[in-house]
Amino acid sequence: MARMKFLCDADRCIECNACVTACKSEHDVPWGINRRRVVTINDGKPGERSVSMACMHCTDAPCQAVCPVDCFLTTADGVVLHNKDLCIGCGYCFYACPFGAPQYPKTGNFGSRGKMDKCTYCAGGPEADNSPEEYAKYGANRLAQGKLPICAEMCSTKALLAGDSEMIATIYKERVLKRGYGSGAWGWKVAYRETIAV
Amino acid sequence: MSKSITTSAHDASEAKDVSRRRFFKVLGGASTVALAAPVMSDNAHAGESKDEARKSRYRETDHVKKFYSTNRY
Amino acid sequence: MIDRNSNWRHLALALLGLALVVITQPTEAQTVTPTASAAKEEQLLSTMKQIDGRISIPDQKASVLMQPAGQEWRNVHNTTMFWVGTVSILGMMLALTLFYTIRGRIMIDSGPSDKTILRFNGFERFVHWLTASCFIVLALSGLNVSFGKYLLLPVIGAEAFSAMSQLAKYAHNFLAFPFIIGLVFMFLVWVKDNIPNGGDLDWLKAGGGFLGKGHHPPAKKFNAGQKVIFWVVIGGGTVLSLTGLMLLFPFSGTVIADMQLGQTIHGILSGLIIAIMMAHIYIGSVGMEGAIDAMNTGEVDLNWAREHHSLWVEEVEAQEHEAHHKAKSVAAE
Repeated sequence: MARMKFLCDADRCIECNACVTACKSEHDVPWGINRRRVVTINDGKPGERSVSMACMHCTDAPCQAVCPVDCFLTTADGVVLHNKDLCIGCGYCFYACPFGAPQYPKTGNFGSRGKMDKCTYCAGGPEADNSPEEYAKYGANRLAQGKLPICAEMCSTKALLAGDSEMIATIYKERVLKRGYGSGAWGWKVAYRETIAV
Repeated sequence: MSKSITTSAHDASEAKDVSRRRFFKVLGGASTVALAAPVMSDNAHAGESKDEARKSRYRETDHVKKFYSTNRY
Repeated sequence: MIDRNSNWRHLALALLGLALVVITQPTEAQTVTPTASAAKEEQLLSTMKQIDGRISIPDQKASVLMQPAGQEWRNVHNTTMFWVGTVSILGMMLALTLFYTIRGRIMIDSGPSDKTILRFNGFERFVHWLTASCFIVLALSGLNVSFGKYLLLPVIGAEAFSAMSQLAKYAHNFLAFPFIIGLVFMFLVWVKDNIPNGGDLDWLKAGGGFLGKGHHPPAKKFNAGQKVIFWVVIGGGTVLSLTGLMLLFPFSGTVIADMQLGQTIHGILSGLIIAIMMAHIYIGSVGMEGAIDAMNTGEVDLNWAREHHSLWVEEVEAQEHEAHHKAKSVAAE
């Protein structure tokens, strides 16, 4: 079965932040929440690289392991989803997440964070697919519509890849071989305990 | 629509204006319908069972295939 | 003339520049790839524990691109903390059960007397129960966060467990404050009686009189065991309060590594303190005849007091005698 992954080709990312904007727009993400973000490393120095980062939908996800109310679930596609009806906003998933993916709508008193929100791989959540309830809580379910995450689909430089891990790894390998360099699949070792050997 | 049969340059630009507004009107209407459609079609809402929520949703549709092919350039 | 001069100079510079380019170009093409100096994940992770960068959104903690330390925290949380809590609490339960079966309830050796003596005044009891009641709720709601999903969730179901955990979280967050107030008062009220001294060593050497019947080492208002409980509560409670406040105000001057460390200390320490408090609750209730009165009415049986806190009884009696004597002499004048 196809395993969904993200791959950011840092040698192509130009930090345009369109993935961030597209994500916000597609899912009506509230203010203050960024399901996806672009981080620039060595900013302004030679070798500067930008990486677009969101939930990596880890294998054996740390968030799922530490959640005190067990609100996470991993789908057959390898997508890590969570149930907002069960989330108590304890913040543990943020401590455990290697990628800073979990977001909270409130920064109010006494750490009352509200229900956690994160990238769903455009696959909604545990509500009926593409129902208004699902949209209100989790955003669009593009995967169920036969599409891929909006961030990857609209990436102008085709830096951000999404889809079947074998397919995107093959595409990345082809690119690296063709151009002769590649700074690797960022986060893959931490998230999936594997890298792409070229 | 009779107004769009133009006799002068001024009229022509006006007609163009109108048709552009109409374009947005149609677009607006369509999006309203699009938003309303799932509301009406999915009256029987129920949260998914755990097995249902875990089911595979990915399909290698033409849309997805096109994404892969454009990424190979 | 001046113009022409400068033109020549420009031309010379341009030629020089061109020559440099010509000289350097071939070598660059051979050795330098566009990624030679590129930021590399593995290299960055080997030098630092996390990869930081710059972001263009206001949430500054989002500038941490990756922190594999999260995986370590997960292991500590799910393994170390889990087992420290489990072993210390179950171990204490087992130890107390064994102690009860072997030693039984510690009775007043000389039997109850008809006289009582005031051990704790109203304020002392209030402070004790304020801290104690907060502690019990904090302990139970804290244990729920660590163990609830294994013990309660399968029994009551996800929805009920989640609703209960949400309430427990609020209780935990808000009762932290009266607990801290209780700690402060407790310290002020009892610190003078809890300074360790030579008598404590003798008390400990005699095993506190727990093991054999009919033998009670002398003790002042608090014996060495009670002093240990006091300093565990004050010391442990202070650390729990500080780490707890840190968790209550996440990322207020702290970064992710601080939050993880704070949570780890908070979790492991509370597991140990809960186990120690179980011993305190045991000996103050079923474990010892007459002990509960100290925190119930404040009036303890005189024989109980003589057996467990002989020096304290002497002190109190001496004070009373002195006061009585003074009153008498005042009356005589």
